[in-house]
Amino acid sequence: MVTKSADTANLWIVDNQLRRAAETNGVKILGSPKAWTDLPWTRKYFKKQPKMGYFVWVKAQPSCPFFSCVNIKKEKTQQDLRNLVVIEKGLKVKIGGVCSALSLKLQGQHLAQGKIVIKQGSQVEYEHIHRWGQKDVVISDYKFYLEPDSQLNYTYKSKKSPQKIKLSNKFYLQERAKVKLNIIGDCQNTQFESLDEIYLQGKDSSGISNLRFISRANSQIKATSRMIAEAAGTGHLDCQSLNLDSTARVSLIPEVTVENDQAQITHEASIGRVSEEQLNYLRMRGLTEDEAIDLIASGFLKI
Amino acid sequence: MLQIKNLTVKVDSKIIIEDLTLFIKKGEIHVLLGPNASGKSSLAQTIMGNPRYQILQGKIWFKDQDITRLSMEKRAQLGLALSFQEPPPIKGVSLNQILELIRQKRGHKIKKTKQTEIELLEQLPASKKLLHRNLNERYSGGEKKIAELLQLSALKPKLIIFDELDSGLDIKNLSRILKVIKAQFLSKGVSVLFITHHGQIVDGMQPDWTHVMLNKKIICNSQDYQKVITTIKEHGYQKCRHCQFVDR
Repeated sequence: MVTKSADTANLWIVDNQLRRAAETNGVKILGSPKAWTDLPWTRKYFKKQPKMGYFVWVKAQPSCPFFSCVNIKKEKTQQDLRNLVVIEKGLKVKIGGVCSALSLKLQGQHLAQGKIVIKQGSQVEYEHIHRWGQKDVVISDYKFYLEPDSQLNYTYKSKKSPQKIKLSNKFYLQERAKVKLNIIGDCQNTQFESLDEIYLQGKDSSGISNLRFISRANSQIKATSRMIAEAAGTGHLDCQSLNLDSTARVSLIPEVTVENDQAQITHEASIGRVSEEQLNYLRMRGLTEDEAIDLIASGFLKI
Repeated sequence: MLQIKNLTVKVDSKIIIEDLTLFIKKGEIHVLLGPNASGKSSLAQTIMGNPRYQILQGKIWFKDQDITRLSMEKRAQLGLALSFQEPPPIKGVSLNQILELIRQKRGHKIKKTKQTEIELLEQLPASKKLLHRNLNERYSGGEKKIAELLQLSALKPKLIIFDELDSGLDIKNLSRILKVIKAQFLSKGVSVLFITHHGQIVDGMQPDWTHVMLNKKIICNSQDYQKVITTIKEHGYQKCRHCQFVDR
């Protein structure tokens, strides 16, 4: 969706250093500690003074997408980020973010807590990509606040999963707000735990949650997708996993709570393996078994 | 081109092809007729190397190479291709994507093969949008065949097996597809084996050989397609066992 090079990122953090915070038209970008000091109104979101992280304030219609890049470069770095993104009313915004380790065996720890506030009538498309090393540990905890008539398409992709990852994404939707959530994980030698919760708090709010996992060797996946209808909203949960190895363990849990009799929520879940028929078909087209499996897996992850 | 000698095949514990012999020379058109469940599609899958079909006896040669134990992909690389009756849908993979992969694997000149595909699409009742849709997902009968033809064209095969080409096609679309098969493959010396349970698809094509498969075996080989098809139309397949007209 957007360029993913650190060289062109609006915001770039390496280990615990803010390397770049390049403001663009309509977008104010600061390190979180500076936002706490210079903009006291942000304190209600941070709760306590942050030591690291970023603050992005989209005040007017930006002319181009916003892109952030967070890297771990040094061995055994521990990141503890507190991020805040506020998007003012009636804007259309595209955000891209990459969090990654710059080599495979750094044993880093990436802790990120964030709040994304989308004000009335704004539309946000947000793609968040993780690419970690084999020994990293990642804990990511985000909350999204959607004001009336706002919309969010949020896609999280774990392209290279770390040793252990714990994701939490919570969405609070006011009247007529809409969220479409896609969580995509390609897992090998990883313990992946994901919880997403969509709270339909306003009348006619709606949510869709799509979870797609590829479970390769020695992966343990536990993903809970939860929809809580407090108001008369609609929603759907769709959890699917494709198992590629007998050592993989997967648990997918769609969970629905309805507190309003006008709400309508549906869910589905499936865990399966590569179909022999598809595999043979592609091999008869000249692809090797590994190439065919990779193709089927990449197709499965497309939503 | 293709030689099958004394082939016996089982699936799970059931024999599905018994002592089957078949020869197809370069550029020949063969028709394999037979009722449902006689073993025709199983033969196609066995020729292509589907590991579910276990060869108990006999051998298969293709271009003078023993391919009896060769993997499916290596057979495809040698020039064997199958047009599926019911190709499986593959989510998230576009027709264009598989065509690109085939071209890369075959090492063909991309510009030239792409041009052939565009020409093919223009001759067929399909929109270019088909290229960007998920492979075989919610395709109509005609679209399935067109997608198969495009892949076959990219594969540049030496021998193609068409399994029930006419299934899901109306007469008009079947005739357009046959026209493309003639222009793209038959005129270029590609050998073809049509598998069908009724013979109309090869009317006007003058097949070199017609075979009838009944209950796991090829029971008849004839160079006179009209005689065979007339016999079947008049007496049904079971009468083929005692047919006076066809060559044994």
